[in-house]
Amino acid sequence: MPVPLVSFRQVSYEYPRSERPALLDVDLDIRAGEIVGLTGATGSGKTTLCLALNGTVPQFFGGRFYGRLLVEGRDTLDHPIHEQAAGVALVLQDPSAQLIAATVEQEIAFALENLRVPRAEIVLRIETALAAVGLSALRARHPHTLSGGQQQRLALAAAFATRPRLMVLDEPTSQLDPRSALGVFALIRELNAQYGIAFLITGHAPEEMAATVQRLVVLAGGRVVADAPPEDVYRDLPLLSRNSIRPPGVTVTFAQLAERGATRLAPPIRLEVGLEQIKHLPAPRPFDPPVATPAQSGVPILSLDRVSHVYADGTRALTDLTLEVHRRDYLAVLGQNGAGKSTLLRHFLHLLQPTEGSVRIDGALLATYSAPELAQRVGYVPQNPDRQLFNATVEAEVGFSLRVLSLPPGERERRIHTVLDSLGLLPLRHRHPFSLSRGDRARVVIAAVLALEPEILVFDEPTTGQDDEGARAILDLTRRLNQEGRTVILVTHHLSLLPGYANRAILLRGGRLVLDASLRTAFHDLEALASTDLQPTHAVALARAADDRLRTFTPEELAGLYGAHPTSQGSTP
Amino acid sequence: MTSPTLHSVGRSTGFVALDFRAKAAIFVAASCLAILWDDVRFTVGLALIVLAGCRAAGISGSYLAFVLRVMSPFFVLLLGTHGFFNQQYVLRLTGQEQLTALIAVPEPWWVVGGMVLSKEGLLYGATAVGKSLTFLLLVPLCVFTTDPNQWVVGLVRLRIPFKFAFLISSTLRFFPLIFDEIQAVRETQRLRGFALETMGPLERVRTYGRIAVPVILSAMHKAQQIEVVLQSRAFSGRSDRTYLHSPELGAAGWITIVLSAAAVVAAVIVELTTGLGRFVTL
Amino acid sequence: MSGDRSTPGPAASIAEPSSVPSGELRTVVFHGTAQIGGAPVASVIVLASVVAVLSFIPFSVALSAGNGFPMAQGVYSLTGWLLGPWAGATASGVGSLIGIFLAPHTAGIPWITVGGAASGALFAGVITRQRTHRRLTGLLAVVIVLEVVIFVRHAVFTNGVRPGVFVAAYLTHLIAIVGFLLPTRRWIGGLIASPDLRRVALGLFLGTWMAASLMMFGESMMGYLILNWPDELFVFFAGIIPLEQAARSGIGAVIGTGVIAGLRSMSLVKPRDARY
Repeated sequence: MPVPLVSFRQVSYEYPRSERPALLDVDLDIRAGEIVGLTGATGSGKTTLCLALNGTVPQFFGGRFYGRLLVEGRDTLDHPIHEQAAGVALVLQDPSAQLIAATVEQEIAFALENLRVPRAEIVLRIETALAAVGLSALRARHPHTLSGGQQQRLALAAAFATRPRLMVLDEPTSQLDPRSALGVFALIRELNAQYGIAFLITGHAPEEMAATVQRLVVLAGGRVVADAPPEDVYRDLPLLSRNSIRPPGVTVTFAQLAERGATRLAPPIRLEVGLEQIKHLPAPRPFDPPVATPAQSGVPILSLDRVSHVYADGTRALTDLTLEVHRRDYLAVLGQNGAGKSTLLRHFLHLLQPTEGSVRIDGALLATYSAPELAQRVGYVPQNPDRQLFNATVEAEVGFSLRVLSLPPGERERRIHTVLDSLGLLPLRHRHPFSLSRGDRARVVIAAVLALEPEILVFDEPTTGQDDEGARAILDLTRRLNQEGRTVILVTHHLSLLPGYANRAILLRGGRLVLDASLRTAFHDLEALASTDLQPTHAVALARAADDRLRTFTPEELAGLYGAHPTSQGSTP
Repeated sequence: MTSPTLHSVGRSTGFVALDFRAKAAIFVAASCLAILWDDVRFTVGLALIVLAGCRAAGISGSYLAFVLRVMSPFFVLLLGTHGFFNQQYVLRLTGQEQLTALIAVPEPWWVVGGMVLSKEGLLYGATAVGKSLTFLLLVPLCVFTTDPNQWVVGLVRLRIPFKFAFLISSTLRFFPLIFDEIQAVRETQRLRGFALETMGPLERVRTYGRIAVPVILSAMHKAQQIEVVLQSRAFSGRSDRTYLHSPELGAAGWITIVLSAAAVVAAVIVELTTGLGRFVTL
Repeated sequence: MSGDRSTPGPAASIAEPSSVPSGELRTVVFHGTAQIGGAPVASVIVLASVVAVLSFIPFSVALSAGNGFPMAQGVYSLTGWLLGPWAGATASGVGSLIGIFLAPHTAGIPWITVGGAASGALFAGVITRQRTHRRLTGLLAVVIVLEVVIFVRHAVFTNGVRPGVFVAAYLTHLIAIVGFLLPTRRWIGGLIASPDLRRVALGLFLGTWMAASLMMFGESMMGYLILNWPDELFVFFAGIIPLEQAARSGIGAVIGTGVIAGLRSMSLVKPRDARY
């Protein structure tokens, strides 16, 4: 048997001042040319394992390291990190924080210069790398001016140019839109096929992982709890559930079909296989979708009337957009990066004013509201919660918002207590916000926003970087707030998470409103989705493959149409 | 507010092509001369030469006009303070017992009554303006005409350790990121109802100061990520590496350096021997 | 499945696993990387970027006092406490240099601005209860004394500025200089390292006042040697300097306390000479 490229032997690691090991007795091999996926709940040790591969763990962080980790036969503890870079290239999740040069080509040259590659060879490798990732035309651009997807491709090019035997990608697509994420995974497959580079990829993107990796490793509490072909791992739903891993939509759907006796086939993990298999199943029963709640009449709580926005540099970001949001709506805002979602959001928040048209709250122009008044009408939870944390305790953070209000004595404390209690943050009230997990930090920001009791809550990509459980927890909270009477507007790329939460969706493309419909209608408007390069969810694609008239949009709904026992249908219109 | 960006000249001129080390020599030499000279003809002349150099090197006239416009209140202040008040120092420079009055404010005037604008003071003010303008314009002259990649190599060739040269170019790289971050924090604070314009001074300091807190914390968090990235891309900080862009000093560069050094030496010798360059009353 | 590893199949889970590592405990040797004054280069880069950005945020926006100073002046000293004296000085100096590169018209005399920024962090870095950097501290003390001598000699004895006016103008700075030369420096350093955030805030206020005073005194001296402003301007300074210093110290304390409280809660690698 050939010597593996990477060999973990009883590797354990504890960060300094940590109470529990981040890695525990890891035994794992990666062979040359293999694509291995690594998944697990947030905090399961994925990033630590990645960082161990070039010696960053433990050399940079310190701490206690047990066992032996060999990469190309060399012990990672015995060589400086920068020397190990020749064999192992690392790409992290935040594209903007890993690009360090002033031009695209300089970015690729950086590692080569450090490795003392001769200048002529650097020039050649830049050409190859840029061609491989399709960025040749942008060589003179500043990396900061590239889109997120282009930046991540550049990071891959810079890593690839060093001709590593192993590329380690830590959540490489978590901050990208679906189109860019697909592009990155396609590139990984191409580099692997053409150059034989081995990959270790971590992440929560099951559909893309299933289509790419040859083995899938699951970490839990720093331990390897599964290491098998992705089919075996993704079909083990109890294992995935225990580890907060979302399975591919197609697998969930077929698992439910199997549960109802509709099929005996092992659930597929790739959509194309599922689409083929479902055609061979007996015809499903007809489906009557629940009647959508009619749009509320009366003055909308938030309205945009023929809004256009042109930035100072001439970029037209919104064109003639008319939209009415009613009280208790739960509106999902969909579209690729650059579709105008952020610009639209900034109009809701009065951070941008329309070039043409008007934005109103309860019929009054937004411009007539002062900042404190607006904060009590519209609450905003940004993608990065850390930007809203200014104080040394959770309690002070929530109280900080209330300083803008002239509250009677005792009312301030009452509000803080109520909000913290309702979000389960009371036990953490004296903790520093930065000592909490990302999910808890997001809840602190939501609490601070809720303390002002706004009627409209705007969430910008709240599930980015969260594992399945974390994403569900935040979405459950948004649903609860909506059910309590608040209007929720949520921007997301994660379409598959929306059923059961949003009741309405708008779809933007190039600053224009392509679609404004109930979530179910939006999910089944395949033409509109295709026009924005959005893929339908697996559940929707399978339903349409089974019968083009079907309008189910969750695995449960679709599976309920098969087998002997009809089940109650979902209630989301 | 959009992120300020590094101005760069839009066209290739002879000065742009000059090696960064040669430009550094001009920078040092002109600064030395500005410090050395007190003769208004020399200091203002030097400032005008640098200004003309900026224009010849390709720096836009609108930018230079902007700088002069922004700085004009300061220059007026310099002329005024020296012209009206700096009598003792100017007397010492001239060796005179009395200064030449240009304008005397009538005694009955409130507060300013009796103040005298002296010719010598005004000349010294003009000297100070010339010095300030020289210092100021040398930066765009040398920086706007040089690609940041050339700074790195140029500084390394000047025996500055690579890690320091890299630090300067990387700071320029990360500046827009941090700038965007601070803008985002300002916006999110406003979205939580904080309108600075309605606050008292103390509250304003507290609120405003807190903008930097999440920015610095997020920057420190990012720093750890960047450190991991740097090391994983073989960064050791050592200068013995290869360079994609590797400019050579060339004859023009050497000549510039030699002439710059010679100018400083000559100015010192001339001033010591003949007094040329010292303050004169004209 | 991978090689000869013994991990069970996908659905298998390890029953009540022990959290005691079974591998051999290794000696971790850090093989070295690029550092500046004991701080990782990346930390210096990002703090330099923060300083550069804050150079564009006029503090006058907060004070409504017309032409103020950039908010960066409130964090020069903080970089010294976060990274140590040398790394902090590099971050502040480079940050202010980049600020000048981007907007030269904001600089005044560029090299004085850059040197001042670096010195602010350098002074702050040695305001510590630890008995480290003794030679640097001694050197800085000598430099300060020399600055006082040169400034007084040039302004008072050569240019005839009235001694009382000079002292009145720079009283705030002179008190800070005396404080720096006395053990006050270590007391303030102790406050900054205290676990009690109120004491940290007090330490940062006093420390910023001390470091900024030493920085501004040096900058004033250099500026004076070039521009030789008149006696009357010293009178104006007597009114404005204490106000400016109070604002710098206030902003330093507010930002610094928030940052130090945050950093103590985050599990980031701490630079060798960090003072928090």
